Amino acid sequence: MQKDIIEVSRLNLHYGNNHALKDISISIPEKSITAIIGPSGCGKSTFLKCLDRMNDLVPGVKVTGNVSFKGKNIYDKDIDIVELRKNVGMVFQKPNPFPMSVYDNVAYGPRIHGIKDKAKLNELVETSLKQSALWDELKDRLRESAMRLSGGQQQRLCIARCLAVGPEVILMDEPCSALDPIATAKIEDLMQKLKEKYTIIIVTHNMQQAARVSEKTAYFLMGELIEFDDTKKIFETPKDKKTEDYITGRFG
Amino acid sequence: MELRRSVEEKTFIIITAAAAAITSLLLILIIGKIALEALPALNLYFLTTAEVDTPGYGQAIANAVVGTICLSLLSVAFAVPLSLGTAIYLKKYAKDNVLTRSVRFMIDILSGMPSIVLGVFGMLFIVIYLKPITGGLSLLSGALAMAILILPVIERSAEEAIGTVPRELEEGSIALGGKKWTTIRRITIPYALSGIMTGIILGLGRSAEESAIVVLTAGYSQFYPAVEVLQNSKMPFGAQLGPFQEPVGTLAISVYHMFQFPNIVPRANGFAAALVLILLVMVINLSARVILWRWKIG
Repeated sequence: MQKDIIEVSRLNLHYGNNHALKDISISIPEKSITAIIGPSGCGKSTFLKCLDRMNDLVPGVKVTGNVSFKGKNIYDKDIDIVELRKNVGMVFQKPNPFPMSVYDNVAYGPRIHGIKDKAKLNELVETSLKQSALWDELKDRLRESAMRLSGGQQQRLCIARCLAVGPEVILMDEPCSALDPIATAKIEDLMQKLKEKYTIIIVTHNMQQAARVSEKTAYFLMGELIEFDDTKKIFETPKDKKTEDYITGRFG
Repeated sequence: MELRRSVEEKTFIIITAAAAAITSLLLILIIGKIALEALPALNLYFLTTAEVDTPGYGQAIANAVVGTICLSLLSVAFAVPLSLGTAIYLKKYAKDNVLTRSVRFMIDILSGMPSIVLGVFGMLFIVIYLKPITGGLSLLSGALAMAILILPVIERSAEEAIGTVPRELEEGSIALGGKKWTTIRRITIPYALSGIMTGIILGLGRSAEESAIVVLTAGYSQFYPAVEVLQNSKMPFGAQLGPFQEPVGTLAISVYHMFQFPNIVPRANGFAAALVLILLVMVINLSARVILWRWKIG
């Protein structure tokens, strides 16, 4: 029986007067891919950003409720945010490699957490690039600037960079929306490999992608979690009419 | 209808091109006239000898060239930490509220302050009141007063540069567990560096050509600025530390001196000093561009 690595209970989020997330309760199983779908503005990215507290960066944001990572509420006063973000990594919609070499990008995380030993860094860089299927392509180009890579390579580099700090959960916020279909397919393959070791939560506006890659899917609408179930059930036999309307394209 | 539009277009092209031409022409005229007048005085002796080693008055400018460079560099050295710190604090740490907006407003006022006013302040407070520290009219006094002048210049450029750093890069660092200062140090400042450097170079150029402040705080010296310790019973420990606590010569004041006594200083000398000053500022600006260009490529 799969453990749940993240348990959300009655999460509410306000941006000023805007009640963006309403009473969300959901449990994410570990070492699997969970997809979050829903129309634009439904709060799925906002929800994702609650899981690594990236929403803290937004001024005027208020969060109530309980978000537990491995049993500990990440909104507790005594939580170590640096540790949290090491354990819960994020890949963004638009690839955002640092203007540095490929090597320095991947080594950035370990370096800021105190790893100075060259041998260890080399090993981490190699492992991470191998895990994101970039090693063969880039092993002779490690000193090249990351800005020279293609969009798909840059996104895989961002994944490698995220892996280098050793997370348990990887949050992906529409990671393929800026990429062409071939790059998208490569990343989807990558996700299948990664889920053996990592828990992946992917926000996507592409329903077909959610159906392709995920084991469980959550449907968000206007800040509410409408339905959360096995992907097959969501797409073939949705329980809620609102889910069905979205799936069948009656609106979106 | 078509015809009228085309005539309108052509008119504007001609007007704007003429404006650009006139502007360029003006610059060429001014520099050209100065250069022409300066020719008789432009020789190696004039450019490489300190005034103290020449017979008479206003016969060479090497001391002023070195002095100008020293004063500008020292001013920038004082101004940069303060400006950069202010810019980082205002842009990255402070919340956008009345306090930060007031600080920005104060910096704006500071930037609009006439240099003569800063010079008078410098003279009263830095030169006279702080004489035991600064040595009175000296390189140190000049640099401190000048630093106040160029602080807003550097701060504004730095703030603007910091503002251009894309949020997503900083978010990337934070998502990896980076703390705020780590992100600022490793991502924000390196990205903003070219803009910050531009501000520093602007400040450097500004301080090289400034005269009002220099007259009132740096004094003048026919000697090169030199590292030395002079005996002066009026200073603490009886010592005056050169070059900082000694007066320093600058090109702007050289020009002023040379034109003050047209009966003993050939006017070509004055023009030559002015030309050297113009070229010095040009070289500062150009080398800044080269440094930035090479840094961007590398």
